Amino acid sequence: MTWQTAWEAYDVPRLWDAVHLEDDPLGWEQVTGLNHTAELLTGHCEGLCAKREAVAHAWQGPAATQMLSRLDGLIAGARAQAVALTVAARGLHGIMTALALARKKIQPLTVRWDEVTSDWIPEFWDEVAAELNDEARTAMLVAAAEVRDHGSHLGAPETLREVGTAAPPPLPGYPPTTSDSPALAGTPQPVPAMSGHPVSMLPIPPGNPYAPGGGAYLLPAPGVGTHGFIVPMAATVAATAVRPSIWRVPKGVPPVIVPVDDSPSLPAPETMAGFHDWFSGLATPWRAVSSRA
Amino acid sequence: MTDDFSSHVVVELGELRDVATWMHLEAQSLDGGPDRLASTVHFGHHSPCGETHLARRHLLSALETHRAGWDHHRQELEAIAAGVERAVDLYAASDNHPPTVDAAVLDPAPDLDPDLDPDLDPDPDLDLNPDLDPDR
Repeated sequence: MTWQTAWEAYDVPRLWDAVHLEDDPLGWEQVTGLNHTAELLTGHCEGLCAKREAVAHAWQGPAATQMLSRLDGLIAGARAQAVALTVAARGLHGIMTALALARKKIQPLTVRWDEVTSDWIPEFWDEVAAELNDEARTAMLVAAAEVRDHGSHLGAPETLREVGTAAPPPLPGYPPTTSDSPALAGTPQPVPAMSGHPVSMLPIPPGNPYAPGGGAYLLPAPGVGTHGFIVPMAATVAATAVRPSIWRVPKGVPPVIVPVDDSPSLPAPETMAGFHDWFSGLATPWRAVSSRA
Repeated sequence: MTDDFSSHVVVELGELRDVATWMHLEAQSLDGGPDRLASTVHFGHHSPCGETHLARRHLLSALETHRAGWDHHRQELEAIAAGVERAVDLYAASDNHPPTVDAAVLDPAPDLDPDLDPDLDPDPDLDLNPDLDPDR
């Protein structure tokens, strides 16, 4: 029994946080290890069977019968465990594959998410962000169904161990689980739609005509309103975003020719670094918390 | 009880001893098995997905069950090997009374042949079949 995740409570950056560490090489090593262990046990069973026959040949009598019975039980148990290990390896392989695929699908969506305000005019920002969210949520839905199917083959006992997770927080004002989900340990908790909790937002890098010094576009949501709005980056950081153009003139007369620059001015690296720090702190503060932990 | 063991008993001591030695070595070779079943999960650590969380719990519990099963198997194999060795020792010490020894092998507190040296049994608590009533 588990909860049903309400994926509407997670946007592209949150879903990327959920899957970015998937496809872990250690997980694949574990698949291989389970398979090797199953093979080892299968080979061991074959050896035991041969020795069982040797005992049957070398020793006949009431005590031998009991010994053979005990050996038979040992062989049967080992065979069952070898099969269970093989099935578990297959189940884990399926889970790893499903989550790796979700990661592969969501990774390019994060790139597009970061470029929405550069590639589109503001009238389309909400719509494009919603489409990207839909794609990411669909990827997670598909992965969840695969994980459920493969997880049922892991052969766990009835009493399960608790295991901790460090999932990103849901969007404020959205329940992270469906209403019929049981209340279990580890269930994601809702976040109230009030100030101090990061809402879904798009980055507006410095140089963008709608926020030249950089900023964030807060998408419509509970606590934000039915329309999104732009929050400019702090003026102290924005000030360094202007690229200086210096014309040397011999005398203090106004220049006759003004500089013409058709290419878009690229913010200085330190400006972009400052913007990224600012935006990360605003949009995804839990990342800093989890990296410190 | 003596009637139960008056049937024909065939024992080839050398072959039985070889089997016991093989079992001991095999049990030792299984020592590294649990390391492969390390109880860690390498997926879904940051996922809010209920199914993924459940799969993590399933895998962790399954690994622990396999690990315990592996240890139990190894211990049982060692116990059987010791039981076979004990039987070989008892038979070797009493070539003329195999049916009587057969009864002794089955019974941890048996009516041993008085000619048998009680020191031959290196582990008097070793029970070939723990399900048998030791007081019978």
